Amino acid sequence: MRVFKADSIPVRLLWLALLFLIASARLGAAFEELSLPQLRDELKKGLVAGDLIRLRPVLNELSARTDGEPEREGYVFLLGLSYQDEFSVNQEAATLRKAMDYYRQYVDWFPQGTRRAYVRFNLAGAHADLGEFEEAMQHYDWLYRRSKNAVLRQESRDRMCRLYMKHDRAADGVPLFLEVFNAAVLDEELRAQAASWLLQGYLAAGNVDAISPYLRYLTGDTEAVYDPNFNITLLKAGDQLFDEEAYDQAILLYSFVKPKSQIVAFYGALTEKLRKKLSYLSPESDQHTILSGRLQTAESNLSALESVREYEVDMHWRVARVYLETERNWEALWAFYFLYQDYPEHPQREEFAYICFCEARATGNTELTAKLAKAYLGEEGFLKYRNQVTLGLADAYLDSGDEMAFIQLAKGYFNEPEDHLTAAQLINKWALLISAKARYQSLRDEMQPLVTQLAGREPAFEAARYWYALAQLLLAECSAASASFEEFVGDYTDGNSLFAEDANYRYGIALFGEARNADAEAQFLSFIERYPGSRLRGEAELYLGDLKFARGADDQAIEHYGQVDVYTDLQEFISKAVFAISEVHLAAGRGDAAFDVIQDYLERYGDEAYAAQGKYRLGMVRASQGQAVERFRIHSEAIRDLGNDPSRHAVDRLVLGYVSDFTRLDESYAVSIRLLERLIAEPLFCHDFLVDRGFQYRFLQSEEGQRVDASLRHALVRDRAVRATLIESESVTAEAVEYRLREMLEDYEARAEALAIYDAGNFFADLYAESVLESSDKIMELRARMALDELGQIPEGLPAVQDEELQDASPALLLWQADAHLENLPDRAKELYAAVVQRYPFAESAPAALEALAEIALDEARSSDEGTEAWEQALGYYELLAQWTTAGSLSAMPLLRKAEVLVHLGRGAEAIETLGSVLKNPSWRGLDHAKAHLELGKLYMQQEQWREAHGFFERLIVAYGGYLETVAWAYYYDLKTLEALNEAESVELLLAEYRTRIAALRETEAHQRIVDAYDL
Amino acid sequence: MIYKRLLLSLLCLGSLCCIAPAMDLDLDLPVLPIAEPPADTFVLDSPLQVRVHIDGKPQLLLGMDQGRLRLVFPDQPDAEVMLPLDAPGIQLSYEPPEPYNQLALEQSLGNHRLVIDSMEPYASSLLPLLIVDAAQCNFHAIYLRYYQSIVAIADLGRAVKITDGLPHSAWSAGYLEQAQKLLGRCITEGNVEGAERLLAMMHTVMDEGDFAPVGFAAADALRARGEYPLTARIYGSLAGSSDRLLRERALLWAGYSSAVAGDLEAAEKVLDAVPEMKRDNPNFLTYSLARGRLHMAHGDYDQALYYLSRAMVLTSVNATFKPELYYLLIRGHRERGEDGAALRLYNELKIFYPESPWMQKSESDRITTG
Repeated sequence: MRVFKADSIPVRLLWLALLFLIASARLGAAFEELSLPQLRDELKKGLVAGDLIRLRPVLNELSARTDGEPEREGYVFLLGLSYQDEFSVNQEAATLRKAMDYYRQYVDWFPQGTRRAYVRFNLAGAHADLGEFEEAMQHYDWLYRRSKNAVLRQESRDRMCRLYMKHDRAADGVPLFLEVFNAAVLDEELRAQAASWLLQGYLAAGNVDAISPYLRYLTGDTEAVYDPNFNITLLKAGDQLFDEEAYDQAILLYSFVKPKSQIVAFYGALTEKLRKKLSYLSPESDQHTILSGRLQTAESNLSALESVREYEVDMHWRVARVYLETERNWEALWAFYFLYQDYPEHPQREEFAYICFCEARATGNTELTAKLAKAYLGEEGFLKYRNQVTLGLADAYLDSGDEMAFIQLAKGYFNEPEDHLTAAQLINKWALLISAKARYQSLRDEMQPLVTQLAGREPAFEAARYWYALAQLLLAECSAASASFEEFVGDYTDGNSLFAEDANYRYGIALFGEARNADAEAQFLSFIERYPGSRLRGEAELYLGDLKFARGADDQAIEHYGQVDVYTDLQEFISKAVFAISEVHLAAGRGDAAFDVIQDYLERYGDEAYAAQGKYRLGMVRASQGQAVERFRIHSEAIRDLGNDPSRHAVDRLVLGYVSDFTRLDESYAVSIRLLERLIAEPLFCHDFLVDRGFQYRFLQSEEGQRVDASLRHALVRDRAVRATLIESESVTAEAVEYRLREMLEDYEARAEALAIYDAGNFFADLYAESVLESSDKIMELRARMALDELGQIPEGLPAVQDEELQDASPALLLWQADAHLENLPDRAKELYAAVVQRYPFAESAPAALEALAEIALDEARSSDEGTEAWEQALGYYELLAQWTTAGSLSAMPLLRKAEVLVHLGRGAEAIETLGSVLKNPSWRGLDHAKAHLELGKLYMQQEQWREAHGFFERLIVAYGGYLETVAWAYYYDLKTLEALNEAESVELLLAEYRTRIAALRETEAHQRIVDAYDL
Repeated sequence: MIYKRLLLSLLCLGSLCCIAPAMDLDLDLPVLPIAEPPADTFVLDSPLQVRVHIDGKPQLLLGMDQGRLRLVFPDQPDAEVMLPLDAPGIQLSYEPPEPYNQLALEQSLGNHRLVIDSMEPYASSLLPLLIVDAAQCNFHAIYLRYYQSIVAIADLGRAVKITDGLPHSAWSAGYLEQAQKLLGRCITEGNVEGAERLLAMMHTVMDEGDFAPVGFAAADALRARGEYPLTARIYGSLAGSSDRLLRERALLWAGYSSAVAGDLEAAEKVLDAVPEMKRDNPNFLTYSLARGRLHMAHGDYDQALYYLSRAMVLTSVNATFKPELYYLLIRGHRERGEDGAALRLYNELKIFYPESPWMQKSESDRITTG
């Protein structure tokens, strides 16, 4: 079968048609000599054989002989056709041009010829074959617009479309493409084809915005979307849009680009299918001709693909980058992941892996992040982003709460740190993690070995040292912390340390904690000078204020406090500074100034202010000015205003202070009134009370006497002017005394009456009733109930507080409930104490809760025979409590208890260290130091370090003789120590000394032990 | 190819039982009902004059008795003959009263009403007779012309009823093609009951490989319309396949549908019956889609996006579930407050699939959630 070029296909159809038309013609053999009928016969025979080229002489002869006759029209047509057939074999342009000459003759000579449409069609095809676009289009357009043959019209139209595409003039073809598109409503395949042309046309015209309406027609599985040219156009246009950063438009085009492999597979399958179909069809059938054309196009597309370079990876990469640029993180993640997986030899593979890891982080999916990080780190050749990935993996572990995995990663890295900056960052992350959980001891213990391990490996070394020092400070190991920070600030400056500024500041705190006030002041001043714009400046000014105030430099203190809000926005520090200024004023007797400064603060900061604390202080200032009723007015208003807000923990202080102070004052007024009434009613009592100091002292030391209002006590006991009016004399009559006493009585009755308006029982009962009615006032209800409980006025039959009611409860409320359950439901109490510590680790109630937990654990440990677990638990609580026990704490009890537990656990060295820290704090001189001496002595005894033990006992006996119970034990153990040292003389001397103190020590527990052991 | 289950439907239960051990019996998936074949014993409302080619003489066909033809000669009405279909050389032909070619022309011009009206008098008699093999009669070709017009314009209830009356042996490619068109009409016009009848018949008469594309396509369309119970029955039936890939695909879609319907327990159970899939598995995309949908139903949008975005990146624009995937991803991003990504996907959905029901759903979600 002859192969026709695409544009010549209809020629074959027409040739067959002609065969039918001239079937009656007759032809002879010797052309010039043959008659016309013979020639016709000859032509007929030749046509049956199907070889037009060989028939050309016959046709020429026939054409010449029929000049001027209608018959000639067919011969001219066949002559053109014969050259076109020849061209299909030899592919010589000259041959085709001859065909075109005949076709043009036909058009000129036979404008109304029956075959004029076919002639134009062939002429157009020939022009197309020769690349003569304009001429081809002219003929096709003529056919499309004028031909009455629907098939030819449609075919001409489609060929024009293809010519536009073939000649890179897609933009010019848009109007025609639109015509095709509009005519293809019911033909899905043609509509897709037209849509693809339109797309290419608009893209070529640079009218990207016009393509959107046509994209939807390309979502089907049509042949048009597999056209290689179409795909390449999409890819190129997509790339151009990408380069112009028009990502949203680029992705629209990329979405349709088929991978080369898919196009090859499509055309492979299509050619096979077409070949199979063709094998069932007659070569002469129209269907065969059409399918042949399609096969030829498919084969041509298939072979064209061979010269198309692989673009799949580039396309996927571009798509992935579009996702990346448009923040479609999840899709970017997968797109890069598949690039990483699918192209193991790609030079950018490491980037693919890294980006997909970054995108996983952006999605917040920690599990996937960790998986991808491990995959990256598992690739031997991947080096560029190892540090970032390591840190990202660390973050993923931290974000997912997998602390163990993080520690494993960090420790592994510290063993062989590839990069010291990464090691430093891992240290920082680790330290922040531990600090956030307030596990400062753990922080100290983890950082300590790193200080040695990473020595010299900066900046990892620096990080370890900083966090180690900070841990010591947070553990209130102020001496150790100040030493560590002193070294740190000596070794690092701003230029070489991230922590220099912070360390300089913390160093000041450590000195402050160590009670080295002068050094602390100097350090803070140095800090401010060096870092005037530091974010820590506000807090430093606060410390400086405290230090100045402590040494009586009130004006300077106020100056520093006044700087706090200039350098910080944190309410915690601003409020502290304001309250401190108020305290300075108050200490200087400037009550109104103390009041005003807080009032101004509350007005200035409104809702942001620490209002509950502020109002508490306002009330207390008034109380200190003798305006007790005003204090309760301020406090009652504050409780009403703020009492339902669980986040304002200071309201609990307002409530509990109200209850205790009102009760005390109310009783005090009642006692005072009774005393005044008695002084009036019993002249003898009045005389004895005012004149007999011994009588007076005994009365005032009685239970009732102690509750007499302080100002009345002062007036009756100390105030000479008042007393002069109360003691009967020559100038002062009995009536005058009574009058004066009645005046005082009336004053107290008036005070009591004024106070009664703010009766705690009534106030909290009303508050409770109101909040019960208002279901949203749950916290207010609980606070009122707590107050009534403290007052012993809880209404009968009230059900227990339920767990859900405590959901948002403040720490003081939880503590109140825990205390309530301690006796009958100890486990519930423990839960609530634990809740206080867990939910509010820095609240005022936290130490009390911790202490309760520690005491419970210690009791359990003491009563338990099973191993050390209970002791360990107790130790845990005391360690937490010890962190609260700073140098300024009133008692060293938690540290003493901790030491006791450590002794039980056989950790003597740590116990000695703990007790040593007690002795280092001068503010704990007295009983705490005495106990620490005793315990240290006992510890050294256990270790048979007799001299050291004796030293502690001796110092205790000498310096703390007033603490009888403790000192008696010191005698006992010192006697035992001296015996162990075989110092019999010293034993005797000590016994002699003891004998001199027996009267004082007789009631102590240790005395009986000494009596049993020694002859006194 | 069509697998002719001539009177084998009773054995279907048996064959399902054979398949069942390959599945997790506890899954208890709903399935399409089994379509019973029309009776092989019947009497025609009015006798049909046919030529039986043993002797070529016209005879009156009265009906059938247990698969045998009941015939009488017009001139001997009392001499009824029972002719088994496997009698040697038996060939039946019916000559319609009107020119058949004329009807074909009318039909090609879309004059279905004329075709139906013209053929109505004898069409109902021909229908049960399609039990006769197409090679032994000309009934099938004649009736197909009628059936084509019925499918094109008749009331859906009537068309489905007629389809129901097709003997199972008569489901040739031509009839199947028309039945699929009818199924499309039922779904589009919301006649779910009719769609289910047709699907049940197709599932009964077609072999599983042929039914699968029809079933999955119908389920796609029904899912988009929110017809989850029927969708679940289609998947349940397909899940009975002995072909592992087909079965897993059906299970994945069944799990997906349960998740959409809010039956999370069932969804998890079904999806757990499918092993974890890798990318080289042909069902990987469906797996990702189903897993993502389940997580979405649980409110775990992070994991939902994990699976759905993976499917998104790997799915071409011509995948049947691509619009649905867009819809789900948009929803997932919206739930996570990722409005930028949601908007971009929404714009693509609007451009690529403006008429998809998933676009409409997404649009209504957008309006609802603002």
